[in-house]
Amino acid sequence: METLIGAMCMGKRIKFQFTKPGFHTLVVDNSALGYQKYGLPVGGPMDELAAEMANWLVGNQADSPLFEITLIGPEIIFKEDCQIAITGANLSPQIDGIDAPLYETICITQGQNLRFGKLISGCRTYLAIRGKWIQEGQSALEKATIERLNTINIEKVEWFDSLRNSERPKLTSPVLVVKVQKGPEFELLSKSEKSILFETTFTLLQDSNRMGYRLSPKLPAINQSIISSGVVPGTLQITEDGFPILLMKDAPATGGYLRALNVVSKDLFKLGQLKPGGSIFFQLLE
Amino acid sequence: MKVAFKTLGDEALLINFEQKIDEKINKQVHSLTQILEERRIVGVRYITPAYCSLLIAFDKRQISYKQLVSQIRALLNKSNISTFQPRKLYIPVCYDRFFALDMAEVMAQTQLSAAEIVKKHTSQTFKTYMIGFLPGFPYLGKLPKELECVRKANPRLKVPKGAVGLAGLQTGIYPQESPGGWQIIGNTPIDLRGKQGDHTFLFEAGDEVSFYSISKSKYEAILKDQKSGNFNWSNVYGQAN
Repeated sequence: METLIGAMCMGKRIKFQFTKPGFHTLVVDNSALGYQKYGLPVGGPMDELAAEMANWLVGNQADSPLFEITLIGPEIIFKEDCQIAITGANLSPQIDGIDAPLYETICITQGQNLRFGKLISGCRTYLAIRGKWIQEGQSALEKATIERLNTINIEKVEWFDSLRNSERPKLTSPVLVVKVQKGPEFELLSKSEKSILFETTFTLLQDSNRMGYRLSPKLPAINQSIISSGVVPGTLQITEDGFPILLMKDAPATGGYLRALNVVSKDLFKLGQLKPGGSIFFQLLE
Repeated sequence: MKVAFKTLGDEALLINFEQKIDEKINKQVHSLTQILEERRIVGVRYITPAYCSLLIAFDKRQISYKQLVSQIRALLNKSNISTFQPRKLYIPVCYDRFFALDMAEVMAQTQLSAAEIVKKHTSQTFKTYMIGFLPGFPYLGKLPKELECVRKANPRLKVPKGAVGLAGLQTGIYPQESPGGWQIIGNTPIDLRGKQGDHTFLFEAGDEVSFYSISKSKYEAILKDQKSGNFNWSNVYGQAN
């Protein structure tokens, strides 16, 4: 697949080219917020903190659109000078074959290429590009349903001195501990079901994605459901059969399963770096 | 009005009305949604109305849970909560065999003929209880008891765009091709993404909806008119044919 993306630099149109798309490369932003009454997912970056830092490093607004790169990276050739930042998972980025830093502002010169290699930590990498993004002819519905890579334009703004910051946060613990609060239907669970939630290290199953994380082990069947009602990213649902599903950014706006727990907002971003096979432990915040 | 306030984590408030599928309760949900949207309370990120509940996601840096609850209590205490005026939509459906993929199964479940099923589906006004499952997918109800049927045991991998289906006491329309388990009895040529060039969705929760039957040639004509921009949308929003 080859995708050309347009941008503006000092009045001149510049381009960068995707010579390989990667495993799952998306443009993410918060433009679907407010459309939940039409059934749209919340959307946006899975790791909000890493995404915000990438945008800050190139002087963009914190919630500007940027690329979310999952597990296997794309290959990009920059056709003009520009400024980028790479944050989140360490996917061994290289520029023209030389290791590129994470959590730094990088000045790119025309013709350079960006590649990714082995996944060293995390799951999702963010790539921000300096400039104001213009999106043409995209409704919220199209954003929710269509691969968006083809329709993004970037308009460059003026340069600033690059920042220096070589510190990068790491997820070192083998088990991700996240703080949770009781959900609306928590009290419908039995005493033993409740204790399973807080005494078990859950594993992220293979068929997990931006919609939801399927966790193992399952609970005993609870044979209860609710009249469809609102959910948010971070809601832990328990299906009638007892399967725990942790809803993420592209979850439907409503659901009919028991809402047992909710991950607190300040821990939500950490989940974005958990990959299938990873472990998670829920800690109740009273 | 009796409601219960609950939390979904530290940045979402859930307002539970009496927990049952009921037209009156649903109307209260939509009234409150409308009032909240008009108020534009600072810190509210989005609102998700459902059958008998309403979720408000908020930014806790801008408004606290307590502040939000007290503002909503004040709104609920006002008497104008049930002033919600629903829109009326008229949706053409082609019930031709070509589109009615599950008509045989629905006939077997309901013990009705195809003509009787179409008649019952087109002779009642439905309420849009909520939008969900897919962007823009309307949950419409309630069906007359005689049309009640269970979902397909094996969901279809590809339900076509525009498919009109039945499930339990509900009827709904697929805004796009999708996997799904509703029993399909027809298809509408109307694009649920609304008017051309307009990025809102056709259905809003609370809308009143009635279906009318069209031929396959009329179906094609409406499809063509929408593509060319000549479709008269007032047929949908106002006067039925």
